[in-house]
Amino acid sequence: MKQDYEVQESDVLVIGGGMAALSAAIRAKDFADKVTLVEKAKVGRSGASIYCHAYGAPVPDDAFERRIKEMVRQSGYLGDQSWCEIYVREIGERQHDMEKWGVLFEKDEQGNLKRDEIRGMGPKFMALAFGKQVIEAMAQYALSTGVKVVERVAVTDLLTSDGNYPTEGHIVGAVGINTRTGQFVVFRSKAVVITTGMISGKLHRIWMDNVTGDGHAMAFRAGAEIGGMEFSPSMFGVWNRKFTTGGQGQFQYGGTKLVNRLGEEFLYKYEGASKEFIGFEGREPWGELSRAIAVEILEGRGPVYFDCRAWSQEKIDKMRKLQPFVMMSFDEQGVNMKKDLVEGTPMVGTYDNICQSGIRVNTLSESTIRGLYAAGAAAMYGAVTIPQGMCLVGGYRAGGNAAKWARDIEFADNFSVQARRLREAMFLPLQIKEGISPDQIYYSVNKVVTPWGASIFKHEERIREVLGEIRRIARDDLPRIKARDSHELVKATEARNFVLLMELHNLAALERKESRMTHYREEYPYTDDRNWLKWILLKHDGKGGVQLKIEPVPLGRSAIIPDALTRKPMPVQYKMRRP
Amino acid sequence: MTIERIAKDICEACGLRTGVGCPIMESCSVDVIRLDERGFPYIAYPDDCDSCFLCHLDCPNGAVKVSAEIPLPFLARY
Repeated sequence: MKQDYEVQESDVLVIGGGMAALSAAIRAKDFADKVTLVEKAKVGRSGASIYCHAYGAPVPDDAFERRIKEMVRQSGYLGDQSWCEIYVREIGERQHDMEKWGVLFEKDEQGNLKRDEIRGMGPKFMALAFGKQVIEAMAQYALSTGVKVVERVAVTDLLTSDGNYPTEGHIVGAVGINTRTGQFVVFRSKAVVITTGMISGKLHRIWMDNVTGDGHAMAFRAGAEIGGMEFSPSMFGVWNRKFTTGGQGQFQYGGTKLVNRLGEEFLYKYEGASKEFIGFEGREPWGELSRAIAVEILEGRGPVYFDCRAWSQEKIDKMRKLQPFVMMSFDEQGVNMKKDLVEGTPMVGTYDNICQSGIRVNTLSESTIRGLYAAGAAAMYGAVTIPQGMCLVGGYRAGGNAAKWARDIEFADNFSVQARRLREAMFLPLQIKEGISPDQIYYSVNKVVTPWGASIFKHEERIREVLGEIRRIARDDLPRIKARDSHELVKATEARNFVLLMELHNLAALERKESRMTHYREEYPYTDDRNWLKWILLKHDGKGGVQLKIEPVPLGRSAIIPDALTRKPMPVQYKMRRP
Repeated sequence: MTIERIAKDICEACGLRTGVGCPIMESCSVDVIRLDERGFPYIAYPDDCDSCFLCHLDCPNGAVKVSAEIPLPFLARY
């Protein structure tokens, strides 16, 4: 392990390597001389972006108001309405930018953008492209503008102007570790953009085991507000109890039938179940769906099967073209969608509901700490919409504004004391002989957070139990974490972040005394629009604890709220029995 | 299970020959692949593989066999 450390300087540092990161870096380069993008693995082979086929299509002027309303409604009315408006107004220009950067969208014979529909959002909202080509094209373009791309460096902490956590100053850079050589790297920069994506529990879901919410954790430690942590995507893409893929949304369309062991299309017994797709009308569709599947299994009518035998050849061809990794997995497992029923099981796997939760940002994409910007899934827009679209629009704003902020300030001089302290703490696990491995930490945490009674169906008692165990792990196990090499050292920093993020997830879930979208509380099986059109924000309190802030959702010019502020019962309700 | 095999008889140790790097070591997002003393890739951290198939796709010689089947220790716990 090298003892000295490397210092790299830039005006803007972008942490991450996906859609939001590349969008931010490309835009930052319009205003700043030195833009560095630092990715933990390899750009174009990391994170969720390469698997995405859905992008934002330009919105015609006469559809603006309707689209904003749809976005807000689909966000469970928690969307930041200014961001919904920004999305609707700017996605067209950004989509054209993507084409200028070399991205190839699906077009029809006349050369017009092929537009697709996305559940509940109405037709023509979505444009299609192959994720791997999108990211590779954007990465190439970023390189061509002079963005410096650093790979295989895991950024672990932010540098603050006053050397404190939480800071009362601003962000002056970050530190990280080369995942292969173990060299400590100091990034001295005038502005930092966090675009690190969602939070994976390393449960082998949607190929995101390396996307571990490091950005959320380091921003929280530095004192930024984080929000929406009670929401996490509900996942049912676990197939035949043996393998997992992304693209589960595709299984909701094309004539799929969802049946239980008795062959019943059980979803229709619930109010609001859609006749057009597998899911619920006009709402975030995955939470209800996962709960409905879980209930069938819990009540002895499982397994639950996705019957895709009615899929057209066109649909299968589209899957092969735009979701090849999904098809590769099915092919390798010998599953033929046209002949075989596919068993689906809900299983938690990632946290942070994409653009619904993350680091709180204003419309400059600026966090609550100056010099720190955030975009993409790591930022909180309150609305999920078409994730890659929001990542693109948000990233672009983050990069431009970060670069403008950087223009008016000098580099901080006093970073080396903090950097040395961070390096010492970071390398400690290498010296521990008898300790706890990062894998064991992940196992201990997942053991308590993955059961359905701790994830899909929550209850105050069980949340408190989970919090108790997470805090025990933080207190007793984390100080003993050991690592044998740089690869494991990176996992140690990820494990530390995971423990923190699971505490935040459960604190927020405890606070929201209602059910909404993917968050379900047995004691409050209804959505309470009179009392809970609110954000739950979490912040480092400076004493090793978490401060909670509850704020009404900012409504902006559109001021879109539900028609009735009454309690609306959740269609799928269940009470887990104690073992 | 997960990444199963890098066929030594098919692998051409691209990293050594071209000086650009072994494509599968480059592409692994969970950094599972390392090079041995002779410059051939091997599966250094098999438990971290999450069956993304990128190594299978990126090896220009088709030397990598990946199985989609993956350990799911926390499946359906209720």
